[in-house]
Amino acid sequence: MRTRTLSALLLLAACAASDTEHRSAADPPLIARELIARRVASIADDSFPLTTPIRIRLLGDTLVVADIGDDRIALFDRDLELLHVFGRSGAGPGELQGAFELVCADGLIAVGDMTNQRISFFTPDGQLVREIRLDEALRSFVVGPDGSVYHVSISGRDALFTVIAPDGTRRPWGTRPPGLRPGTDDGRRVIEQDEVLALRTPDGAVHVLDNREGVLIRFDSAGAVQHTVQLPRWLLEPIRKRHEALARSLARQGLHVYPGTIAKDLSLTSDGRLLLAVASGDVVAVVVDPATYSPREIRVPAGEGPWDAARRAVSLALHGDTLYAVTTDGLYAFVLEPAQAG
Amino acid sequence: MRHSSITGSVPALALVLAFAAAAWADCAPYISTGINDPPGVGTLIGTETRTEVVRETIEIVVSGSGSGAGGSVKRTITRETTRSYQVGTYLMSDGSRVRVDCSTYRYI
Repeated sequence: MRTRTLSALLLLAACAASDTEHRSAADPPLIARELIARRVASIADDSFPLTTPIRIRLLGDTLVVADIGDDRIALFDRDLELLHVFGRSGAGPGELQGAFELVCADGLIAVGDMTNQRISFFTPDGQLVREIRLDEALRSFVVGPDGSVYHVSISGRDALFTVIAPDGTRRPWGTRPPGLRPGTDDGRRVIEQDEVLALRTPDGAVHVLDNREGVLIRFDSAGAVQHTVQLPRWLLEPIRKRHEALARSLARQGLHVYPGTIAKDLSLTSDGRLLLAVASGDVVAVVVDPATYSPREIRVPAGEGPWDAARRAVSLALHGDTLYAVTTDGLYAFVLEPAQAG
Repeated sequence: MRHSSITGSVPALALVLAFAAAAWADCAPYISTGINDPPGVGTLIGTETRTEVVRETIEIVVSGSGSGAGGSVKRTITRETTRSYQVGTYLMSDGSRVRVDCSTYRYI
């Protein structure tokens, strides 16, 4: 871990990173206070037809939710009305076994399947378009402009991604930052699930979150590192402390917990910014400008209230000034407002 | 249960005479923090099987022989042991995820 931290620091220094430790006066925090819609699980009906939602993404004005429990994909409109559900468990074409990752690109829904180790592309009405085999454990991925899948390589030394073209050909892509290189000479250490999160912005850049160190890395279209920034310490420390406490508690139960990660999820907002879902005190998310990497936090009020759903969200989406939170018991929409000064 | 696999290798353990043993253990469907800690319940949402090859090099000395020749001969024996264990991903009640080594994997 020490080597890893040092590597991350060297990377930051080499790229002349500007750690935005301060909070910009021009961008006051946003507050998610007012609940404007919700769709919660109910025994009486199937209004929230998901058991273990894991990701929520935007497909235009549609909310797409992946359910890893039932291997289904559910689509909702912005008022949280259910539009369509598709998917079933299995290993056959179009079937899912562990819908863990979700990317919406070019009008299609790409589902990363844990057990089948493949990425399946569907139309919004659930028609299978194509499938790409990964031949390794699923990690975060983005979809390139030509339909290629940029999949975070689970191991390897130099390239962070494997690009799998629609015709199945593969090539390495993206300089693997020092902090994400294998820690041993034999390459034993692998990239763990959630350890690296990636997405692609409309300008073609690929953004990577080193989710252990809290470092954002921007790659240009050629795969070279353009910019790195470490997330502010005020954001990271509460997350790390909470994870350390959790690891201690579980250790007392005889469990060995792997190092924790910073963000629950990384997604694209409707206006092309990065959205990190976190649980750092009252901060539930951070919106990051893709060009400058300046962060703006989204908070919830202190104490209990309907906004607790945002705290325990497994994934978030931001469309305009509406924050959508999906939890294991429902889907919630909050309107965001700038925090009052003082 | 979601399941996938990863293979990797552990470097040679030169001159390590202790043999390792590993036991397979499935991940529990749920985990929980203790009653004295803030409540935290995790639901298993996926597993990955890790396969490791541990190379053990043992040096032995053979003294004398039945043919009457004296002296001793050093022999090096390399043994490869494959062992597997599971890493489980749990979705916690606060929406975060933790990964747990589900094995009873330990050197004896």
